[in-house]
Amino acid sequence: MTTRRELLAALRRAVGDGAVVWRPEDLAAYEFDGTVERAVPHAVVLPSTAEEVRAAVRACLDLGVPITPRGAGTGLSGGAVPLRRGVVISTARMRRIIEIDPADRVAVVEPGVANLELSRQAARYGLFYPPDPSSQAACTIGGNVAENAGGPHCLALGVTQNFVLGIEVVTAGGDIRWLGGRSPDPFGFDLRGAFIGSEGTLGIATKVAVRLLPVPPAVVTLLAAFPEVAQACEAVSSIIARGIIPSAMEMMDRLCIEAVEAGFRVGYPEGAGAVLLVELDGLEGEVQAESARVRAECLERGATEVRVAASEEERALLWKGRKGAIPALGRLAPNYYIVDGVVPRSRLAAVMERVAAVSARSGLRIANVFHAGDGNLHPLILFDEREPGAGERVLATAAEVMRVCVEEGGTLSGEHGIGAEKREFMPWLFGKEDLATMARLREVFGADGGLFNPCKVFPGGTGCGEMGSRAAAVRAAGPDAYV
Amino acid sequence: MSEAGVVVAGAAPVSVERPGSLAELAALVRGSRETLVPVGGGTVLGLGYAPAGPFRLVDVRDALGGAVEHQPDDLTATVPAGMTVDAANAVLRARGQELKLDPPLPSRATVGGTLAAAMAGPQRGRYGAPRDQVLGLTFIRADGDVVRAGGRVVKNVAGFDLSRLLCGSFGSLGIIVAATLRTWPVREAVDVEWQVGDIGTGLDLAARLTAAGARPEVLDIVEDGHGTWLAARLSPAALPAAEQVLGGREARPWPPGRFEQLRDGGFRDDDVLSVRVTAPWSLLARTAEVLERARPGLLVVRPLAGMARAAARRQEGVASRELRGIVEEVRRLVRPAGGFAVAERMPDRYRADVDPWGEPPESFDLLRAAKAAFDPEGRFSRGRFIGGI
Ligand SMILES: Cc1cc2nc3c(=O)[nH]c(=O)nc-3n(C[C@H](O)[C@H](O)[C@H](O)COP(=O)(O)OP(=O)(O)OC[C@H]3O[C@@H](n4cnc5c(N)ncnc54)[C@H](O)[C@@H]3O)c2cc1C
Repeated sequence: MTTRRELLAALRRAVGDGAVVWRPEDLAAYEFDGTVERAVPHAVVLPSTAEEVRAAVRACLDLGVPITPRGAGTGLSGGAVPLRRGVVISTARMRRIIEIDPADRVAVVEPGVANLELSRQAARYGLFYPPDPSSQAACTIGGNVAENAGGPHCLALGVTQNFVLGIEVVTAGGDIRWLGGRSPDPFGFDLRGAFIGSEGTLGIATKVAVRLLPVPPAVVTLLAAFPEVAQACEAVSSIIARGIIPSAMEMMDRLCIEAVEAGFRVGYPEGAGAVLLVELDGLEGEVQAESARVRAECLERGATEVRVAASEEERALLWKGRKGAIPALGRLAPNYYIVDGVVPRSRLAAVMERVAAVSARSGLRIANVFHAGDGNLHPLILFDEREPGAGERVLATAAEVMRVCVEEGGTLSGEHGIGAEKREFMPWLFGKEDLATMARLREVFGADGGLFNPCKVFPGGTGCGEMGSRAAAVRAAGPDAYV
Repeated sequence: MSEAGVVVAGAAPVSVERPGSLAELAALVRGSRETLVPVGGGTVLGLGYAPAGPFRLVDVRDALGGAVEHQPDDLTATVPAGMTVDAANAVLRARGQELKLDPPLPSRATVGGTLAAAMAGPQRGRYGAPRDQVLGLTFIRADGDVVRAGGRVVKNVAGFDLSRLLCGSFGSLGIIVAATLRTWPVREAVDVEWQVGDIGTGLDLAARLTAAGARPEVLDIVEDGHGTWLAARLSPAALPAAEQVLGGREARPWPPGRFEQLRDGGFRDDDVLSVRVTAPWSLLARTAEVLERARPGLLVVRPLAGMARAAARRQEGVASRELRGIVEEVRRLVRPAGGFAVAERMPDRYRADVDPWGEPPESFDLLRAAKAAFDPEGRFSRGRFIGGI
């Protein structure tokens, strides 16, 4: 067993005194992410360079201490929560944009750079970074790589996986390596692609080279209101079937619309059962032609009203409800739990009905606001954590929703990751051998020792225990327990 | 692939196997002591090193047949790996959709082979590489078990993305059995090209055209002995904007066979040389200059894909020593940016002089570790890939 003092001494040697956080009151900021998971690390390090990251990783490996990478902590699957305690390696001090090369349309950044900051800086060259998680003001590029993050505008252009060219990583085994580079294709096996979405279990990204795109000259946003969700879902399918791939297609259901109206009065048509937000971008001529077709398609599928915004202000107004949906729902219930699942687009309407049935059975209200274009659901389960047993009921309800997604031919996560929360569901999707094959990737990165972000992605694992009770046990052990 | 005298990068197999079912193929993998080289249409058999040691060539097409399962409303299709790209597209196009896979010689190239060899085509710049089309796949592991990765929906982050690892692995980690791919609506488009004088100018104009907001389906600069052209496939609504950027230049519709030339160049029957380079945009002009010295009859530069390819037919091209110098110079140029150059096709007697892959990348230990993790006994295509993996 390593004592806390030995651990802190080794970390200080690795990254210097000023980069080690150890006081209990300071550690409290690192015990959670965007989920219900909680666990306090023994220490947090704040390296400034890849070499310091490597030194910290090696120190932990030497002492047999678990390591959990962390970006901004906005993750929604518990990925950054140190479930077996140990050391959190934070990228908070690695926030440099190393270069933006307008000729190659490439940016190279440190992992702690916030997603929105990158697009902001790229805008000076008429470029932007397309993947735009709703958390983009805070979440980091490193966290995006780890989760293969998406966002509202990933429908036409793709997700993180489609925009990352190269990653410098400190592997779980403690080496610095580049996966890919600044060129569009990797030389050799695509380990870069395999690392993306590995949820911090294979290593820590210390530099990321990404592809940028020219800012489109024209953008049009349409908002269509439908009496029923099913009609809006049909509209989504028929727009895409016509060969139009909008940059975004977002949907909200009745409960969301009511919450948004009560919260901000954005003026959504009264009584609407669903609102569909469609955004098109590109050349002026293309966008105009397509927006007319989208409008016609929505009306044909039963839209009672279609609004079209062309100016920046009008667009902001249409988006206001979508962007404010989560805070608005916060007024309906003290707590909410976001579920992330994907179903085939053609099953959307049927799945929404099944989710409503799950809600009725559980007695918990579920609001839906989601990336409809790619069938990526985000049911929000509303609850009050002060009610006895609420936590368990919410998790059980979320599990039922996940089950529905899998039964309908979908998957457990479209963008938030498996993390700690869904790993026990993985056998619904994959056989034992499928999972064992996946796990072989750990050997490639030296992560087979089980110290790198343990208790994530894969079911089972030692020292992880039951979710919930595990977190409680870790808390009960107190900040001075052995490592 | 024709039966007699088949060679893999100059080496002859001890046998050619043609299993008739997935079960037979899996049994063959399980029981084989020699390394196995899976092959579909055989369009890129000449690429890479000869296998290390005696090997059996396994034509997987009969074993990996079956029908396309198309979900038009979801824009997805599950396609057996042994089916040719053309055959799969024939099924899909009858319903107004298609795969954005356009490898050389799609009438012979199989879907599995296209993914495994990462052979992209003219639509790569707009739609991404073959790996970007894949939503999930099944593959035969080195111990003969069939396993699954990914899924059937268009967005999915459940578990590690092993399909990425299989795509571009050149048959050296597993045999792809079937893949679920994105399908795309067939869209109306116009094919135009502008005379640009030289490749550098073509690259500048391509940059201006895309900076103006055009997202062409195809945007290639081609030099084929009849001038240098910027060839674009555009949505009709994008044409006016393009004409504005290209203002005043001579424009014409694509000559017959242009698309096929851009796609197949380097792999046509009488092509004897083909060198493909991957590099960031800003290195493509200099790359093309060096490639010119190989006296290619056809030079294609695909800026949005960071690709340049030089192809020479029988009567064209250079001697092996000269080719080596050219390839090495290009490698020195692009390597610091993570680029690489592959001698995709050359006469077998050139192999002593010209290294088809070049020096392995700095992270070669990880590539080796991947081979060790997924194919510890070297059962698949041993010796064929980078660094003789
Ligand atoms: C309100 C809200 C809206 C959201 N909307 C979206 C959305 O639209 N789309 C979407 O995809 N996600 C969304 N998310 C989820 C979340 O923001 C993303 O998953 C994001 O990518 C996490 O980034 P982070 O920096 O906060 O990472 P963290 O939460 O700190 O970590 C997430 C995971 O990444 C690992 N990690 C972090 N940095 C590194 C690194 N440098 N190297 C290796 N591993 C690392 C961690 O170990 C952990 O497993 C949303 C979250 C919130 C709270």
